[in-house]
Amino acid sequence: MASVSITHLVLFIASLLVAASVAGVLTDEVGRLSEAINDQGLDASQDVRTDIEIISDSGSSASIYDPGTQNITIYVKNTGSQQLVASADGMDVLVDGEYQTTVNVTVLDDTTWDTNDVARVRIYRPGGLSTGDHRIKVIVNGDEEVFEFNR
Amino acid sequence: MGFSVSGSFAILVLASFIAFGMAYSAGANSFERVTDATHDSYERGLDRQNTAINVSEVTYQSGDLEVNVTNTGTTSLSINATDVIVNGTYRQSFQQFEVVGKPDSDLWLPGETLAISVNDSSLQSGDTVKIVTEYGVAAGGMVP
Repeated sequence: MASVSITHLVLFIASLLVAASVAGVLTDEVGRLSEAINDQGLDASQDVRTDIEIISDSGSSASIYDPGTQNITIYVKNTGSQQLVASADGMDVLVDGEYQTTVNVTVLDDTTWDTNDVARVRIYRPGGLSTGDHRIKVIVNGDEEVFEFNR
Repeated sequence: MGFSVSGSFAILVLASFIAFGMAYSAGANSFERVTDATHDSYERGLDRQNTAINVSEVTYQSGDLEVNVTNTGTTSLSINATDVIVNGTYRQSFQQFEVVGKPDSDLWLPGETLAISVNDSSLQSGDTVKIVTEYGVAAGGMVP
């Protein structure tokens, strides 16, 4: 009789251990999934809240491209409802379809790029810019804006 | 055997409750966050649709550029959030930048006129002036 009780006790402990292991794995995995859902929700809300406008005047093309410094200068206004990262890491810039790596972003009327603030974006084009039509695309948090001008 | 099954089942049920609680709160928080952001975006979009401005007058005398812009939309705008670009250059200092008759107010209400004065002797006839509101709605004019 004693051996049956010990067997039952061993089986009881083993079953509890197995159940606890399964429960641990389940809560751990669901915890990870919850963190991923939270991150995804945060990213999605940031994308929705992000809105920019390129407010440069395409009628004054001489002020957009400076052949002396080979810099393109555009002004980008934060028209969304959240603060944006005012650095080249926070935005992607394409000029005539080419990704630009030498981009300098400076907020003009504030220290941080809050709602309604304007940032000056300077793009260095070492190869220069030919005469004719040009297209600049700025992407911030998935929000794309296109600016076309003529040189 | 009976205790083993009951005990294991109880542990699994408890773990399932905890897991469901975590997943539900994460899902609900994310959904609420995205819903709030979407609602905010729609509100701003509606304000943008209702925003309109018109450059009613541009004069240039003795190096002083004076621009009058009228809020022809139905939304109230903020002067501090309004930007001015003259001849392609963003301007931050002005001689005058106020709603006519309301020098201390930041509000630029429908029907009111914003008077902007910039001192720049380098401007020439045909140079452009662009006024941009907080929603990105813009209007332009030319130096006479």
